[in-house]
Amino acid sequence: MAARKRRAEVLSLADLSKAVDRSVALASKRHELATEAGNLMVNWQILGRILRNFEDLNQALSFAKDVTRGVKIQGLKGQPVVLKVGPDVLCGFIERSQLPQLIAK
Amino acid sequence: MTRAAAISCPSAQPDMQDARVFGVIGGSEESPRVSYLRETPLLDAKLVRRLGVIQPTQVFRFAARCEEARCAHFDGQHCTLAQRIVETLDPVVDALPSCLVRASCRWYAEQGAKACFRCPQVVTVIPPGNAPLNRAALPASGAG
Repeated sequence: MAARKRRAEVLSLADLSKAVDRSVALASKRHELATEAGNLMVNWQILGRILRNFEDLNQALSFAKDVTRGVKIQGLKGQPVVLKVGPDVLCGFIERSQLPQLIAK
Repeated sequence: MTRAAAISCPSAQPDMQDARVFGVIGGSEESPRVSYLRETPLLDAKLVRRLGVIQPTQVFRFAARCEEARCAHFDGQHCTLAQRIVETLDPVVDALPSCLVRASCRWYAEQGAKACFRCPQVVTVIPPGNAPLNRAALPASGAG
């Protein structure tokens, strides 16, 4: 009997969301990245995750820059941000389109 | 339209010209495998949020316009990355993947189906410890 052919998996757009979640979980393991389970959204404007093993603000800013660089794709422009609120250090990015517009005097 | 404008790189970065997603990286921790999309998705902010701190290239395979001379893998006429992939990696599928890029793919144009049979194991950000893929990815000028 002939061996069954090995075929690459094909995904429809309907499957994309679940495939992305699976892929994120795998990438976290492959690249040994520890994150909190869920994405963090503050006031719907700052996107990021709580950073573990935090040591200093420069490290947090470097992390925020890396995250922002990593999401520089089709139509999304981010500004890296580190924000200290009480005991929490939030780092991530703000979508530039969400920034307040400067109004000329 | 020049010839270069019609040729795509199937292992591109998301900020390259004409970048689009054509696959999602799955498989296992040790052996990544690309699942090929039937349609090109729009990567909107909602989808990007799902990635968290993970780089888009760790989740998606991107194609974009081939940068030719600006790429370390281009020797002036051919993509040496595609050549090394065909020479050093084993095939992982026996049938051509259903791929949105093939019509303009430089790897397919130069290496034919042999590149496609190996393509599903190729990831742009190589996990630590994947020695065969690391060897294939290393440009000739960086080897010595």
